[in-house]
Amino acid sequence: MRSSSLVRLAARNATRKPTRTLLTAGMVVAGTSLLVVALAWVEGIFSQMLEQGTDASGHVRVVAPEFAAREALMPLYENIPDTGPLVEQARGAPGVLGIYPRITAGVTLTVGDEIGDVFGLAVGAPREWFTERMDADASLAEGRWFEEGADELVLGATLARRAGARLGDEVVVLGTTQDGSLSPVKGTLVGITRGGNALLDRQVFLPLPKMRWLADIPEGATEVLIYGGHHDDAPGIAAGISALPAAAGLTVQPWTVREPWAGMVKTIGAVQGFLVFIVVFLAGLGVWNTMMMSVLERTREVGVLRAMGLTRAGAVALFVGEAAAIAVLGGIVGVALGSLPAWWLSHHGLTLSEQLTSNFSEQLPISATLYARLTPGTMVGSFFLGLAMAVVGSALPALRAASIQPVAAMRHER
Amino acid sequence: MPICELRGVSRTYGSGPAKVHAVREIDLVIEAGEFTVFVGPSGSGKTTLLNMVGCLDQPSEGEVLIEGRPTAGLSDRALAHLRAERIGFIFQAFNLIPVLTAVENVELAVQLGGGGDGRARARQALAEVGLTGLEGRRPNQLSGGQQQRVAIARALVRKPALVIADEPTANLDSANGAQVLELMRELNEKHGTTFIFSTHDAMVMEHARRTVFLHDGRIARDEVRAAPAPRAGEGR
Ligand SMILES: Nc1ncnc2c1ncn2[C@@H]1O[C@H](COP(=O)(O)OP(=O)(O)O)[C@@H](O)[C@H]1O
Ligand SMILES: [Mg+2]
Repeated sequence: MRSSSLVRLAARNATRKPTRTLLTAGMVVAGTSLLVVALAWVEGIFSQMLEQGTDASGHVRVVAPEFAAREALMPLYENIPDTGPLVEQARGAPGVLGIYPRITAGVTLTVGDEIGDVFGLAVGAPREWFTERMDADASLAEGRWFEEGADELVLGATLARRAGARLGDEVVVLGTTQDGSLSPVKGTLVGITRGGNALLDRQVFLPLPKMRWLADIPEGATEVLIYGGHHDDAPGIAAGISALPAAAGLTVQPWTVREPWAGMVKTIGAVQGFLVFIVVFLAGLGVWNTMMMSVLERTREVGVLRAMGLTRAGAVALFVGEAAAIAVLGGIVGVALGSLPAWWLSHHGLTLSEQLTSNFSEQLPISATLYARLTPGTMVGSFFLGLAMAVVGSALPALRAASIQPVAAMRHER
Repeated sequence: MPICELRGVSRTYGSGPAKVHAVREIDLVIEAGEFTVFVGPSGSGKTTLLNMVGCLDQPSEGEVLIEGRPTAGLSDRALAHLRAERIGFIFQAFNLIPVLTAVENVELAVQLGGGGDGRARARQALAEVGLTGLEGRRPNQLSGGQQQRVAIARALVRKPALVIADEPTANLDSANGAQVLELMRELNEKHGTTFIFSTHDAMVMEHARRTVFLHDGRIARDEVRAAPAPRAGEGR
């Protein structure tokens, strides 16, 4: 069957009851605009988390196998005793832009004569790691960053407040060596950071040599963090690192195999899928309602078309086509409408209060300002999901139309 | 070969004590080129019978043959195809598609039957029913008589073998009704298209060559006039 007449009829039918058509279009407009904002928002938040998270923990990480197995205990004794050869060889590996040994350990802080009862996480790494990967300068709320070889340290804002530490104070950081002996180091507080990130605000940052001294790992580290241009490059870089002689016997992990990131990628998909399902379902319900009215009103007309040779499939196409015609316009309007707030959120973000951030999560680095991420893919995808709303919503009414018998044409009650 | 043959056709509605025998054990042969009217009081089964002749409905018992081929086993799609190809319909209430213009209504019939060149053929069919110049009007911009002419053009545009018309003049005044019947007669003579229509109006039945009287779902009488019927007096 030639379909141009049917297409025309479907499109004309959409003009029949303007109010009802507007209602149907309104469902699609609401649905698609909501999707654009919600999907851009979810994508923005998650990619921000992934970016920050992989910045903090390395696109690729090299550790001792036992360290990977018991990471939660932060076992200092499962270290890489000499990181020199690995750092040297990794420099030549394809795609590698940065290599940083790092030691992390739980410590208590003492300021002045007080006995330390403030717990924090000490992070010792080369100064470039802080400046290049942790955005150190931008996150400084007061003072400056430490000098690499100096007896200086920097505190997260939350930790500084709890310990009552001010710039210039002598801070004693009490940790343990890899053998478990108590090990204090002393430093002048030269800076306080407020990254807006709950986790980072509870840390104390030390130069790597000072941390090595504290942990008694003079040449090594518990982790070596390796970075490429983008966190998407991690699997390729990991393959290159694994092949290095210095990596023999060590565990090389791209972020994609590490928690919480691996789970987060699945979560992104699940969250977006759930959003799509709910919105398409609700908008489809609205479309169903208005399209069903149209089908019931046009029973005799459908009978006439069936008498003239319209097949059941043709009747389905007629009503799905009408809904789709409405959805094409509704989808364009909806994507345009939704893109405005999504675009705004992608530039200005939404800033959470510090209190909310610090209660938010101990596990995930959630930044204080959440940005949406509006991609062409999200816009095009939302448009097609608008079509899906029309198809889903008009499916049952269209099947109802297909069940109208041709004899309906001959009935002439009003 | 007859255009349409009914063998022992019955049609019932409902079941149990509410069962209605709309049409009972009808045997009927319609030859090509006939101009036949079903006559009977309201409820006598005219519409039910036309539904089955036009393959809009299937009999409860008996069989319907179109151009010698039984229709009983045909799928819904095959029946739709058969109607599109071979049968045209004219309805009491005209039943034009309100959102399409006159020419688009006719063109739709061409396209539903899978034919090409729909616009040109639709214009020609409208010219044949005397509606040149009104092609672009929507049904609500046409009089009842004009609408029924569009419907006739729509029924005939694919040159069907058989045209079914259920009380085609019932919604028209007598002058318009007579014109519509005359038009149908002309087309019947010009193209040899078989027409079967129904009426309960004695004036209308005079146009027919053959009159089948229905009563309580049965054929009460079947009359064939030898000479062409006289034209209606109050026409042109
Ligand atoms: N869909 C139906 N359901 C039940 N009864 C019907 C139906 N269609 C017709 N009938 C009954 O069948 C009989 C014949 O109806 P119909 O063919 O419409 O007669 P006519 O067209 O001559 O007025 C009537 O008694 C009518 O009430
Ligand atoms: Mg009737």
